[in-house]
Amino acid sequence: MSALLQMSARDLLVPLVAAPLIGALLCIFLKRRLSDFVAAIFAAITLVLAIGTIGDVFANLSHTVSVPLARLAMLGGETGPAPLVFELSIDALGALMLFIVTVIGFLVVVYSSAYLSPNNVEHPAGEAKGRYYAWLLLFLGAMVGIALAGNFFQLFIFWELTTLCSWALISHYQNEESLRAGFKALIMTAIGGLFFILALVLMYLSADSEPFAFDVLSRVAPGVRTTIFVFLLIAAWAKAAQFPFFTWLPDAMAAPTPISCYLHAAARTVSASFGLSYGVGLLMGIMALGTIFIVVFLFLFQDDLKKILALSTIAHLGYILVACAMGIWGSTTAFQGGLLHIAAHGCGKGLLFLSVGMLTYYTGTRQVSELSGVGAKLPLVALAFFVGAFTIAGVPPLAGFWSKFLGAVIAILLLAESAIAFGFFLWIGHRVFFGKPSAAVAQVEKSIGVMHVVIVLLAILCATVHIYAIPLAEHIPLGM
Amino acid sequence: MVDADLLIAALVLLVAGAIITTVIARYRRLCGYVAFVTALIAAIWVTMVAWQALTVGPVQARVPLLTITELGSPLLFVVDQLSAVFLLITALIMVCTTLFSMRYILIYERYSLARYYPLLLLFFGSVISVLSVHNMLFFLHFWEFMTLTSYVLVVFHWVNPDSGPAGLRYFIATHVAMVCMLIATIIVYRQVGSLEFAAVREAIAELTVTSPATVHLILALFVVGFATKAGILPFGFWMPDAYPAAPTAASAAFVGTMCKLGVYGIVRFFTTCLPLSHFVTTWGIIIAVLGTISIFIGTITALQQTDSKRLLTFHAIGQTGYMWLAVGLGLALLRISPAVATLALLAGLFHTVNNALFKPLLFLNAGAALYRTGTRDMDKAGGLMAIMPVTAVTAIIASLAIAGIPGLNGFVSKWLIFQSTVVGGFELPVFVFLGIVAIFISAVTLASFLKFLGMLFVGRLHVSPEVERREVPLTMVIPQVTIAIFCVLFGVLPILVMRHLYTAVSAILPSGYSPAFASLFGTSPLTVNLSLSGAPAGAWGPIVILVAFAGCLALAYLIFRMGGARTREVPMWLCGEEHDFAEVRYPVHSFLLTFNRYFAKIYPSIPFAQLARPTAVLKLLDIDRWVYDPMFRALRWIMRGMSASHTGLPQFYMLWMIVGAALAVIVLFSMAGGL
Repeated sequence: MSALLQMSARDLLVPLVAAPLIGALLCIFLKRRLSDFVAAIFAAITLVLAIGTIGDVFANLSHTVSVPLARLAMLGGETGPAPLVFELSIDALGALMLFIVTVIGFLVVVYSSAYLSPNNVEHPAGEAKGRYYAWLLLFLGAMVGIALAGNFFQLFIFWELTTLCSWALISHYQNEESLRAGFKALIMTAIGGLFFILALVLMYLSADSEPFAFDVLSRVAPGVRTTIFVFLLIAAWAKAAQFPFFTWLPDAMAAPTPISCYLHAAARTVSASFGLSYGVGLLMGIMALGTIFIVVFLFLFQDDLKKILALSTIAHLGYILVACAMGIWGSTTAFQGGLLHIAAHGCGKGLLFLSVGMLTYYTGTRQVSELSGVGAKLPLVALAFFVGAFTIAGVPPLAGFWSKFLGAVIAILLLAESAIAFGFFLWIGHRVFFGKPSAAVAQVEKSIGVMHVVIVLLAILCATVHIYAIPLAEHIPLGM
Repeated sequence: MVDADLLIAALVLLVAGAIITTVIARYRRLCGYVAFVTALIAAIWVTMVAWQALTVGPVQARVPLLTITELGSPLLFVVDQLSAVFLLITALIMVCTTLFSMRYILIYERYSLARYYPLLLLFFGSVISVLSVHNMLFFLHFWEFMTLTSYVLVVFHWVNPDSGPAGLRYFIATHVAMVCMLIATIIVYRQVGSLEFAAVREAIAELTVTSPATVHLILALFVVGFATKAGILPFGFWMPDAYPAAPTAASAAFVGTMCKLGVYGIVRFFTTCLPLSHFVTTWGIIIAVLGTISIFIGTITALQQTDSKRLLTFHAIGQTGYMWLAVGLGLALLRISPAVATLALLAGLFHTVNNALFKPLLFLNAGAALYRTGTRDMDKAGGLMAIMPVTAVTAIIASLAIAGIPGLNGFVSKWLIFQSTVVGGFELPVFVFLGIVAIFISAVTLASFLKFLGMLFVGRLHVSPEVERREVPLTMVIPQVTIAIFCVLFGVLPILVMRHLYTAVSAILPSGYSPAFASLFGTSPLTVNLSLSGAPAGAWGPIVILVAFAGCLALAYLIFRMGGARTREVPMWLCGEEHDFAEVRYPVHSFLLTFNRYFAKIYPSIPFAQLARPTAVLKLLDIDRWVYDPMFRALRWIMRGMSASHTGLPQFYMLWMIVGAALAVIVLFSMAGGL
């Protein structure tokens, strides 16, 4: 550990990306308990490395550490040197995301070891754990890769890797429903990815040198810049399940719960800090606002707890996009607030998903109408659900408050929406956890295990993450 | 010499106490002791700081750890005279309610105390923080945290079907109110880029010139926010459900502290954050009118209640209305008449202080009755004086105080309020009308509390047989007696309190604005000689009056003894029929029937509306149905059509090759510039 502390971020970046990938390779060949163990070890290693890296970043927040790895000679040609395509770098934004990704990743891996068991009332399963962990760790690695990406090319590679992992994980149970949902997610996000490729091609064609670097947008002609940005935006919309691409996400809830959590906690937007025209920002903001309000309406029809959480995720990704749009209009506070919300929402929504996962684990149902009085049987789950709901609703002292305050400098509409959404969540909480236990709840056999530890840790994180995240968010500059 | 670090120490102690009580929640009695000791020490510290602020001057402390530089928001604790007044109340209520809880909360055997004591301590911590921060962001932050902790206390009996909806309404209503204030804060922040109260004042001063509509919007949002928390109707609709749902000691804590923060917020915001302008006058009148509506509706509705805690909650709404009336009057007259404005603000603060004494006391009384009898329904228990004399005496003191009976504290503040409405009426005639409503309702309050006392405490003992017939435990008696002593003390020596309240009022107003204390209230330490602009406007010497009262009583007793009349105990005459006492007891709802008949609909109960869910819109939003599915089907149809060309016959493939080659040739030729 002490040796680790002495290493600088520069040395840690490569092992950080490699660790989950190695873990994933190992897990393919393992079964049951052993795979639990190995996956947890590798997730823990990733987390420790990430913390070491972040510690180094904290020492100098406005500084960027980057390690160039590979150039693609094929793309060099006569105009200049071959462009850099692999480069690991970490700055304040990367550190913010890296922490959330690795912490939640680790917690989800640990949680999964208990969740995927024959005792699970909804999905008694314990088979194929190795495959599950392999995809999960690959997903973790891809997310780490995105957090550390130093240029658009690499971002795209890891981006598509997460699409692939999502497909595999959503389809994990391999029944009709989950296969369909996985396919749908794959198709919709991959079509989004095609636009990413188009954007890359445009970058390559129009920039003189280093066409994939993050600052490329400031070096190309204004017309091309807007086109590139809109293409990237479409890719982000598809991935972040914004209107009109949002339909894949509620269906993706066929996945084992920890995944949907991770998928969402981690689902993020491109760091949209490009000097762009007002119109593009407006388009982005309006689309996100539209999505948010559609989602609020859809809330009212949902009876499935996980789908409700999925819809809420869409809305919150919308918040982040609105904040980015405001960043384009020049509001640094809004932009930083939006990025801070990635952390707050990641923790809060992760906690909500994990607590709902425990609910289904014990009761076998996730229909709101079939659940009541759960609090008497599973008090810790109730606590976790409420902490999560308060976090995403922005009730102090939990993390969400800070991000909402920073983020909503103009978007007063968002506040109105959040009040509605919050009321709805609170209503759900009351409906499910209070009152007399229903039939599905009465038969619950209490037990205590790893999952309880995980949700308690995550609940603590919900209350404390802003202490870590605010200094980072304050050092994310607007525009690269 | 103490400084505000002690305040921060008290906050840290409360948080530590919350953590410890969470850990030891299993040991129910020990948990109570720990909570009490924590609250006691914290209260002593807070009292020291507040006393220092009140007698010497503002104290402040900066907490650099939680400073958000980006928002220009240092976490700055400032205890000035106004905060100090409220902090002193909070300290007293904190000690009394935690002490009361020690035995009281044990009746909830099936509920974990981890959801009680930690939350109660954190609640007090947030109240103290709200009272002492001087920064909008942190003000809202602690404000919302207060909502969160109190919400958990409201849903403490969560298995009870009533408490869920009550808590839900409460949280949603106050969260929306917080969002209102947040919006207003954001508007201000955009103007000035800082959230300290002083900066907010500058921002609003600028806006009054450039954009008056925005100022009105900001003020409206803040008034709604504070009104919701204070329980001012119509924004306080959640209150009659939420307060009774909490454990009684917690209700007492709410009513003694949180409910008063609405008043604190109004006074703080309108004096510290708002420059003196016509906005203050306009909004002062609005605040006073809102307050009077609450006085009227809240108190009249209280008459109809049969549940003791619900009755008290409606009175809390009514009483808060008095404070708002006085504060609104004071603000409205700020630009017109310094003397009356000072008087009205002082009256409002005095009523707040008094109310923070007798209202929690009444809740504790009701809680003691509930502890002993197990019911809140006043039809099911009565005549408790026979078994709980101390509780009954304190209940009588509190009831008379709230009804404004001379000699107790409630009278003095109500008298000052009435005085100021009458005098203020010369300047703004609307206040005469508001004053008349307030005076009328004062009588209604008395009627209502005669019902409360008559049903619950005096008269013939009427409890179910299994009730233990003795006084409540000492830890529940002491808080009640303590607060009752304060009620009497403040009633007998009002001028002592008023001196300190005057310090607070003159400190929040511009320096040299208020007339000197002596010119307003005279110099006598025992009597209040009210004079406005040099002319005497009234006088109140409680000791003289009390001595006269005592003399009259002695005289009456003397006459009674001299007459030699004999008293005799006889059973109630029931027209010769035989009835159980419970059957013939005068029921609660038969009291004050005329009132109840005429005002039956004054407080409409609004059920949770079932949301209409138009399925047509759902279909419209189902993009899968009308975009992606048709696209997919169209694509499949095209593919099918194309696959029809794959017939398996070699001739067809040959044909395709020839057609393709021909097309390629044509295209190439046309590109080359024609034949």
